[in-house]
Amino acid sequence: MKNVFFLFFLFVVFFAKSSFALVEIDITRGNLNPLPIAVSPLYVESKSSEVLKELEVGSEIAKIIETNLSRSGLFSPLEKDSFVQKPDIAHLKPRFEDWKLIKAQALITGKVNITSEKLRIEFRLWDVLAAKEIMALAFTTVPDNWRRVAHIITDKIYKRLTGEDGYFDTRIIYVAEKGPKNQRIKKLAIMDQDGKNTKYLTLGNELVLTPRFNPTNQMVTYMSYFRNLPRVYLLDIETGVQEVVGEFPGMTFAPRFSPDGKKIIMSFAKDGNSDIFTMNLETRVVERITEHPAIDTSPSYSPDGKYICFNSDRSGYQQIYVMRSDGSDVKRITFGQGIYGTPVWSPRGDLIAFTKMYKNRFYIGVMRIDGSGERLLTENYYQEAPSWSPNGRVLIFYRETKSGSQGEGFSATLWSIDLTGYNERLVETLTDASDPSWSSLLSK
Amino acid sequence: MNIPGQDFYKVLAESALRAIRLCQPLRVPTTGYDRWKDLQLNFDLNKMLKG
Repeated sequence: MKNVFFLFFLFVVFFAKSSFALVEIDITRGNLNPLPIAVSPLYVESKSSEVLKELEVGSEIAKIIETNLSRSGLFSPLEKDSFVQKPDIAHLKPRFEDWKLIKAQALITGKVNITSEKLRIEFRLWDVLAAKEIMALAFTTVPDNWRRVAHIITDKIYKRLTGEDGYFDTRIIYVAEKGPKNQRIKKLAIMDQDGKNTKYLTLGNELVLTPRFNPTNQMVTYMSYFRNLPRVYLLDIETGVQEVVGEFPGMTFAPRFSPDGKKIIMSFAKDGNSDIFTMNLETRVVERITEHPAIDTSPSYSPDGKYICFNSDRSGYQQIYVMRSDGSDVKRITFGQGIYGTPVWSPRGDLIAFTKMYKNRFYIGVMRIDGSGERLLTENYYQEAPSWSPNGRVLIFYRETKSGSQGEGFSATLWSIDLTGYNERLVETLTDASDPSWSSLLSK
Repeated sequence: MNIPGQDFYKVLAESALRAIRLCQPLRVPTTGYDRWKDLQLNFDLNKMLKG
């Protein structure tokens, strides 16, 4: 739906409502092509003593912005070889005719300066066809922060040109995997959304699964093993302190935070039955949400915290259900063929993403919160566990390849796809990877 | 959509203006200038989304 805001419109219907009246033209179709944008390398002020370092940073920042915009599928960055104007001149006042000639509709220029260990970056966004500046901002930070500034700048540009929040200054937490399939070492890892700055949060001594951020991105909840039993854990990313969540007499798994970050919702299984529980992290009070002999799992809150979607096999097959957050008013919302799992409520609140298995193929899809309007975005041999970008426009998930009897040929990779279903991208990671979870925007 | 101040109004309006600028120069009839010298362009979002 929002695609329309990136379009330039075509004159499609041309008619006069009356021969004597004002001529009216109804434009009823748009053009879905990505917006051609020129990202001029950031100009480096030569006054600084660290010119070489700056020079690298200036064009690296431009590259990051370009890659971010390109991967969104909504922008088409133009080849730098075709740029006629030098970065410093363009930044002062672009010769719009030159940029129009290479079909740029938007232009980004900027300037970098490092003084006394401070990095100052300013950038301007120009509307080429209107021949005017439409945004100008400057950031001062420590030099090590330059990649982050590039992501923040991309978010500003994305928002100015699309009207919706970006998702570039964000991080992904995932399970990094290594080794043969039957002896996989799995560690919790965290990286920037573009795959850079990877850090490992656990040593790999224990299996880890399903990490999820809290709303402030400082804590992570995930499943690991404690005394050979799967248990829900809580980890403080800064301090590295881990703890088991609650004193449950059995397995706990599939955790997520509530939208206010005060509770963890999860499954608790005992004697073959699995139900959904919450634990308040302040009071440690545990509350039962579902009570049913079927397997209820994968709970996810609506962004307002009033509802929960989850999957259950209470109908005989695994399907998706929605209930109030106190467990009342349970409604089944999927009735299609196949089985459904891992429902996740969109941060916009309007959609639920899910994994579907049908005739031995796996699909990632979205539907409205009442189950209507199901759209399958991608199909593969094995893929699951979608997680939303904070603006609710992109999903990240993982995919595994089929392996031979000895585990050969096996791989696990992260992928992203946007709501159109056309913009599918591999998300590069240092090792094999699974179970990704997207943070909220780090700077709001 | 014609409500200034709405989140997407500005973006949509700018996008529409870009479209008009891209279409220039317009190919227009050589006669009847008085009849078409003023044009009203209606960008109909509803029809675009259905299309």
